[in-house]
Amino acid sequence: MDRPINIRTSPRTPLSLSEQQTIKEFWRKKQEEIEAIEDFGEHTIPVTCLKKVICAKKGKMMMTSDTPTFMTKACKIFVQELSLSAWMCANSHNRSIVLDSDIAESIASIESYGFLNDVLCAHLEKYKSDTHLQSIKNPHHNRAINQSPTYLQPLSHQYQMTQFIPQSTRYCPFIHIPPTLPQTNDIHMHLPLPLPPITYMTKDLVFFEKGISNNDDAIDLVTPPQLLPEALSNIPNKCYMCNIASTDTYCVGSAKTCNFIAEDGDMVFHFPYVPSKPFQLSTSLPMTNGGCSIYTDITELNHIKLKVTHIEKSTYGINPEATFNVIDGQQHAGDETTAANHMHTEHGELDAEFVTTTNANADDNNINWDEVDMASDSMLMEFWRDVMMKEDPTSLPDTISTNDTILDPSDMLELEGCCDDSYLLDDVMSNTSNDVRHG
Amino acid sequence: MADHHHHHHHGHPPDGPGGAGDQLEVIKEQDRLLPIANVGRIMKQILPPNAKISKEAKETMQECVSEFISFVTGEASDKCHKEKRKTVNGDDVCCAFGALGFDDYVDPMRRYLHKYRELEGDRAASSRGGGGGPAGAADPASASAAAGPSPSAASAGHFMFGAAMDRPDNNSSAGARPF
Repeated sequence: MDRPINIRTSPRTPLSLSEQQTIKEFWRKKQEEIEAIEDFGEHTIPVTCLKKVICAKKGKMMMTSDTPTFMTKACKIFVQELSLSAWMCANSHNRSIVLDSDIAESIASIESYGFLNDVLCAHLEKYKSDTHLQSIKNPHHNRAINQSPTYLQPLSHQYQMTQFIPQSTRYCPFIHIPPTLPQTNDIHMHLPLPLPPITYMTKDLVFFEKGISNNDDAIDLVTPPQLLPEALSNIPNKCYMCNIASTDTYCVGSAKTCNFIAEDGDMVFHFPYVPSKPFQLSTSLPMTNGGCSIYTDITELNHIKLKVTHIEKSTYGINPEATFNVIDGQQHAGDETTAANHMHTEHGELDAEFVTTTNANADDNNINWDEVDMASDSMLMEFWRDVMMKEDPTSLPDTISTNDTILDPSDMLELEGCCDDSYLLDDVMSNTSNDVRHG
Repeated sequence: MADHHHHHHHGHPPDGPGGAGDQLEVIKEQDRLLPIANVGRIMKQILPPNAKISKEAKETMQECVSEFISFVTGEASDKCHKEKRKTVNGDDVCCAFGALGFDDYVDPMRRYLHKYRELEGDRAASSRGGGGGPAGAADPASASAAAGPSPSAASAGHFMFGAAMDRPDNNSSAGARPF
């Protein structure tokens, strides 16, 4: 137990003149108190307790009858001198409460109290032990949150998951719409899809969490609060993906215009009559309003497919925003036409994702919309050109990349054509080969 | 020493359930330190009325004053052994103060010892005349001793409650399933 450690690592400045005067006054007062003693039977410390302390520490010790009484007085002086010095330490720190650190500081400043260093060492060790208990709790809580992605994915996909999560990708690559649609105001479509690979299942579980936190019209589901990521502010989420573990169906659509109903393990895709986005055409169409809403959603789905391609790029470990930051300067060009605003809305959402990625890397989830405005309109063109370099050009229509005008019925037909089964089959095969490559 | 110190904060109250070993440990722990209520009272006597004293400061003072007792009486006992004597007296303790560097204590305590012997001499003289003197002198000490353990027991209960608050939270489950 004897230890050469001296706690006087940061020696306190010598006592100020007023403090020395206080100590001198203390001892003078003690002398006067002793002179004024009339009855030695009055003790502030019980003699029996003091005897027990001596026996506990030193064993049996024979002493005259005056010694315990003598020691109780000495103990009182000791306690009061040390308390007074500790009080002056507390005052020097602008506190009116005496802490154990003040006592330690006093002991360090009084040379004759060096024998108490061992006591302070033991006390300090106990304090560190309590602090360790406090620190164990918080890392445990953090570990509970950090284990969520690990629990949701195999270890072989850990790097891949890291690439996905900061980019706020929220879309499923499997989208299928029948080429012919009945023309009614209320359309119910049953969309069973084949079971995707397990890797996508694990990823989508994470996407679902992000979708819930960003969506104003979040589905009323019971989600563990520990698994919900921190919500991103100032980002409206017009599109989201819904996935329930018990089903093998994926649906993507606008939050305002789509309602999901889980029936018999499948999702029923319901299109209401009036879409949330106004869609103006230069010429009148021979279709009903339901047809217009269908085409509007088809347009959105094409943009979603664009982001699906973005997911595929992320799978390869490429950092998309790095490409855009190098090639593209920060310039913004506004356009006032209705169709251009519509395109700009989708474009702004895509830019918001990039800004989110940048801020996510900096561990800052608050996005200033001025930063979104700083993003360039040509970023989308750069992204599209980069996609074209990797994908087969014939599988994607040119009207998507160059369309700045109002869509007419013939363009609608072309958009409808890009959603055929052969394209979906190519996408599935591409993902399958991708999965094989990772294996 | 650390073991005793640790046990001091997590020990059961005297009436609590536990084996004989725990009971003995608690009793020994109480004997090792002066009562915290007395120590706190002595501290408050010297400080201004607006001063507050934290619980940790009182506990630290308990440890320090017990170490002070052990330090001084040990030195006095060593001096007695060197001089082939078996009984420690007040003069030995006064010399111990000087030898250990507590110079400020020497004069006041020598004065205390002198007055003690004067009054004891007077009381002894009156005691020869009457028979009630020694019995009367013993009463205050007994009363103080009887009052001593109670606050310590209450403090022990408070310590146990405080220890429970610092326990880490075991309810946070890391393996919660998402769906």
